[in-house]
Amino acid sequence: MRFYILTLVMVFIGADAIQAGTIVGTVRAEGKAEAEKDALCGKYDSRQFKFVERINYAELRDFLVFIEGQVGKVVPPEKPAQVKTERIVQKGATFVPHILPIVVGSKIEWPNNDDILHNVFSYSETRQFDLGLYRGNGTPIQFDKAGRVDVFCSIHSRMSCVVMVLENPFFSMTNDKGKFVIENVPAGTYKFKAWHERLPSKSQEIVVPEKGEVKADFVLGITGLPAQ
Amino acid sequence: MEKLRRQIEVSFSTKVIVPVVATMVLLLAVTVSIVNSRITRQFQAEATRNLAHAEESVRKSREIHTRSQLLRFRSVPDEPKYRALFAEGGANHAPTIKVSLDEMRTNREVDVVLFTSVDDLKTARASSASDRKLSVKDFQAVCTPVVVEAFEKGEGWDTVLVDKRLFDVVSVPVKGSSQELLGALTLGVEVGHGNAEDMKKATSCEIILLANGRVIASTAGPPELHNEFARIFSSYMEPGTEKVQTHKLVLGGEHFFCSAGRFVSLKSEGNIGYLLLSSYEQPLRALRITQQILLGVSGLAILLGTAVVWFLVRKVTAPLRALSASAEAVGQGDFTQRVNVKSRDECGELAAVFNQMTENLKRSREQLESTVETLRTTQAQLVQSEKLSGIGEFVAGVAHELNNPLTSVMGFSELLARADTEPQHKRHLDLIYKSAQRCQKIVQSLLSFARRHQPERKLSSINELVESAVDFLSYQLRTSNIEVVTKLDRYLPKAMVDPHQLQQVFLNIVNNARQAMEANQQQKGVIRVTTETFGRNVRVIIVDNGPGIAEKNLSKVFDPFFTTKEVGKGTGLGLSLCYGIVHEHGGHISVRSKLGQGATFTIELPLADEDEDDQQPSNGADKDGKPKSGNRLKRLEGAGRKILVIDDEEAILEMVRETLSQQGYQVDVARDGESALRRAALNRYDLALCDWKMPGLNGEQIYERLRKANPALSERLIFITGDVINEKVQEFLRDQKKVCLSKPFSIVEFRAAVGNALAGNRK
Repeated sequence: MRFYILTLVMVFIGADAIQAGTIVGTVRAEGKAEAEKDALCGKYDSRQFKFVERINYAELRDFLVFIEGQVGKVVPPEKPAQVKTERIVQKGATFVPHILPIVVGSKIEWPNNDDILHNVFSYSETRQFDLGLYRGNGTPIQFDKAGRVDVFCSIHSRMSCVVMVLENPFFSMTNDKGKFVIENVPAGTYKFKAWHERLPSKSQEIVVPEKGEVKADFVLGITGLPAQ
Repeated sequence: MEKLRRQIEVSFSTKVIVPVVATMVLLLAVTVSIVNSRITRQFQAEATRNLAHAEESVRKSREIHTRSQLLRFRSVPDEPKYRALFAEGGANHAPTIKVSLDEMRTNREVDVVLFTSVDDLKTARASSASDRKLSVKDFQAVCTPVVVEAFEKGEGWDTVLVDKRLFDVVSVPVKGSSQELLGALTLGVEVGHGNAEDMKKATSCEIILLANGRVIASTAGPPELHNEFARIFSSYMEPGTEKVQTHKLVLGGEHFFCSAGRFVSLKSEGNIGYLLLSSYEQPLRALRITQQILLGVSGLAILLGTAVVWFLVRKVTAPLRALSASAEAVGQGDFTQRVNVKSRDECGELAAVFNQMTENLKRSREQLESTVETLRTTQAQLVQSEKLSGIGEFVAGVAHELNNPLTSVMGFSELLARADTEPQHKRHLDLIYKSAQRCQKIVQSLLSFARRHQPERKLSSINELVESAVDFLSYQLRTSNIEVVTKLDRYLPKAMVDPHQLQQVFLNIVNNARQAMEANQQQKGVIRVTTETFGRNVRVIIVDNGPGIAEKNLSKVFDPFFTTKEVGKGTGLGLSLCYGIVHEHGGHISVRSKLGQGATFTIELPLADEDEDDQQPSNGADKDGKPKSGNRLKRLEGAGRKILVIDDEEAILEMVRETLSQQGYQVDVARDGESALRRAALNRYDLALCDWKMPGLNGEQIYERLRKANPALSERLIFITGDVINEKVQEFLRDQKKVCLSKPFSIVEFRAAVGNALAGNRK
């Protein structure tokens, strides 16, 4: 599906501008070793860290990398047919996928494949909606504004997902090994950002060559904690 | 006696020990029972209190538990997800609400969750149970009252029994978006072992939860006891036992106090409640240990007390026993017994008094005995003297009458003898005269026996008196074929006696012996006469080997007119006269004899001592040395003078004594210095003659000693010496102005020196 989208984007950009490069890299999360260690034992095995949610940084996935801001000319969709339609399925009282990046103007369908009723709603600024209790296909929602949308089920508090509404199509989710490839990026200097639902984002300036690759590696983590 | 004494002793100890031990045992029993009842009551009260507290805390904890559950669950329907669920009619979709209720059950950690619609109370719209065995239907059925309560009061709680399981249930109403009542959520938490444990912690009592006769949960005992618990519980739950009583209970060997309580249930059916068991095993054990300690200590104390009492009793009775033994001995006449009790108490006093008493008794008895003895002797003497005195009166008369004819006989016979008669007649006359003289003497004897005669006393040689008596009888003795053996002490001191009377005594005794032996002669008669000094006495012993005296007669021989001779032969006066004379002299006469073995007469006469000599010089010579009138020794210059001669040579002693005796001196001899000094100390001597050179003390030493002990005699000391006198002796003699006779000296010389010395002294 992702590759399909990418291919579409590449085709689209390729038609517009011939000179394009590729961004490759990795994203991984890293905890502060010292802090982690202290949190587990020793003098920090105390109330201060008692209720801190332990994050296994090595196992974190679902990193999103994207170019901030607009890239080139944004063409508003003229026809509904051109509107990209994505889908987040409710199955086993879970939203799948958990993170879904979309380009502004895309639609998302919310089919409930469970036997029980679910509710889909969001109070996010970017897009607010409440689908009520239902089973079956439900109502699709269009996202016209860039930003983050947190989506929940009202009767199942553990169910949640995040929709990232982005301004350009040059984004990618990392694979299982944390690698990503974004092809056909028009040459230029961009602010390139790595995001994760639970970690502070990091961005770096990248220069995408006219031809070839640019490498961008990210290590996300909580930094700048007050020194103990 | 011994047995009786022992019985008394035993009974005394028993008297003391038995009451003491009995008292102590009684005290112990009382103490133990008091302690027992007090402590038992105390810990019963404590246990009752504990149980009451426990019940209170069970009730309180139940209440708190219920309240907290209400608090926990009251807000459940207000949670957004449930609110959303119910508001949007999710409750009507079974799978959805089932999932939600499951989630709720898991999140809220309850055992059962039940949603009851307001439309249909009988059947749950949805339910979730942790246990498949739990029948939700049954649960629904028993929960109906609480659901109704929730509808009516806004909340409800209850304790319900479902399928033999106990649940605390809380029911809260569920409302829709416009506050319309949709139904009720009922959450049930099973009451089980955990709760029982919690309650046990809170109450520190064992707790058993029961419902309908079944044990739901128990903290006490194995499952085998559950039926027992159920039985006890049901006995509590019987109608009429409103007031919960405390009961004693023994389970598995452990002692408990027990009480029961009832849980509040909206459904009146079914007895749901609890049993509380408060163990008093520990205080019981403590009590037992206390009792054991008490018993042990008291037992020891009793033993110790008994021992102490026994010891004390022994100690107290020991002096009594000693007293008893002594009293017994004293009772049997042993006055030497003394009680040896040294304690300073009443017993000591008693012992001292007893000893004093014994002493007094002993003394009294001795006095009594001596008095009796004296009395007996005196009586005997009195009897004897009475006899003698009676006879004396008689004899005196007879003698006096005889004196006159005798005077005639003597006078005429003498006249006829002086007349011119034939020699043959002259010899006959002389015989008559002598016989008459003898008669006169007999008469004199009789008179002396009758105390008509004033006895004279003079220093007389007992030996001479004995010899003269034997001489007097020598003719008769010879004709009777009797030998007289004399063994006379040559140095026998003279005694102050009446020589006539004593001669009479010896004559009588010897003559008696002679007559006895003559009458009954089987062997040659021997009479042994012995004189000796015996202490301050002169002793004369006359022994014959005649027929002896019959024992029955021994005590009578000195009686007047007692005789064994034929009638006319003896007067029976002889020995009784002897007795009188000897006693007159302060002496003593006694007889020992056995029939057939001769007889022994012993006469003891006191020696003349110095005092007597001083007091009674008139018997011998007066102070001027002039002999009394009628004394034949008138012409002798030495009469009444005593001279001590000290020499180691027998011949010299004999010669000196002979010489001086002829002059009338009384001579004592000493063979050495020590005996001389002894004699000088005992007797008064007018003169001393001393050999200069002797074994032992010499003349000078004797003189020095004598000068200290007897200065008077030392001045009248004449030394005799056989040696040549050296210068030193001469000087000594000159200084002391002493005369020294040199051997050999003539008798004339000697007599002159003695006379000079005595004469010089007088001046």
